[in-house]
Amino acid sequence: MKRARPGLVLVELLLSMSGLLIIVGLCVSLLYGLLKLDRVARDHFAEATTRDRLTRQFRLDVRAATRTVPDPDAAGVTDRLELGLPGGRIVDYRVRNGRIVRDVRNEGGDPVSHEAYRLPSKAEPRFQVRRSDGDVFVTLQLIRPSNPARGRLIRDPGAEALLARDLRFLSAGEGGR
Amino acid sequence: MMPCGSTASQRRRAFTLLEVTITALLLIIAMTVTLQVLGWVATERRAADRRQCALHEAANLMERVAGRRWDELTTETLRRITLSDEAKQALPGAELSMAAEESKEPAPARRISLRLRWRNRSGGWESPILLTAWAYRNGEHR
Repeated sequence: MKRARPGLVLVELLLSMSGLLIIVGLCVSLLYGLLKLDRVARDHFAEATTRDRLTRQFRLDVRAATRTVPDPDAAGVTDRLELGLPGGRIVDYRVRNGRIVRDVRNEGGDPVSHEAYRLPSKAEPRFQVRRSDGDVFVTLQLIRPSNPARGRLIRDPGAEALLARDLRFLSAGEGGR
Repeated sequence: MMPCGSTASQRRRAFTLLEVTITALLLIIAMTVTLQVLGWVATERRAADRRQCALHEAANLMERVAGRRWDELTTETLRRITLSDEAKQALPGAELSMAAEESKEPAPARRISLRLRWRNRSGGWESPILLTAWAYRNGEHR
C-alpha cells in the first residue's frame, strides 16, 4: 500500500514554495510601503508645524525690528539675518548643525534667548531684504536641497514681513520711524 | 494499469486550474486597490502642499497690503496685485480677488478681503482661501 500513498512531487513542492514566496514578498513590500508612508506623513506634519512656528516668529521679529543686516540696499540672498530691535536687542537667524537657530542678544551682547528649529526636509533658509516704495520687506524662503528623484516639487513662496510694522504708529521719540 | 484498490489516489484532491485562477485574480484585485489607495494618499498630500503654499501666499499678500498708505487701499489699486511666480507655478489656474470695503463703525476703516482659489486635478475649483484684514484711517501718518 505504500506505493498508493500520494506524496508531494518535488516540482509541486517547488511550485507551492515559489507561490508562497511571491505572496510573502508582496506582503512585505506592502508593509514596507505603508511604514514608509507613515514615516513620510509624520515628517510632513513635523515640517509643516515647524515651518509655521518659524514663520510666525520670523514675522513677529521683523515687524518689531528697525534695522537689518544685510542692508536693504545690498541686494542679494543670504543664509543669515540680523535684526536690530529699538531697545538695542539683536535677533540673529542662522543655520547651525542643520538647524535654523534664532538667538536673541541684549544690548551688551549677552545671549537672552536661543531657539532651534529642525526641519525634517533639511531645508535651508534664504533671507532677502528688499525695498519697495519706501517700505522694507524681509522674505524668508526655505529651500529644500535639490533631489532629482522627487521630480516636480511645489516651490515655497516664502514668508514676507514688513520691517517695523509694529512701530508705525509710535512717535519718533518712542522708537518709531 | 491502475490497481483497483487505489481509490485514494483517484480521490486525491489538488488545486484545479480554476481555483488557482480565481485566487490569482483576487490577489491582483487586492493589489490594484492597495496601489490605488497609495496613489490617492499621494494626491491628497500634494493637494495639502498646494493649500499650504496658498496660505503662505495669502499671508504675504496681506503683509504687502499692510505697508500701503490709506489712499492706496482701494479696490482698484488692490486689483493690480498679482501672485508671486512660485504661487502661479504651484496653483494651477489660480484666481486672486482682492477688494476694499468702506466701513464707518466704530472708526473709519476699510475691510480688505482676499480670496484665492485654484483648480484641482479634475479641473474643478478647490475651496477658496479667504483672508480679511481691517485698515484704520488713523494709521495714515505712518
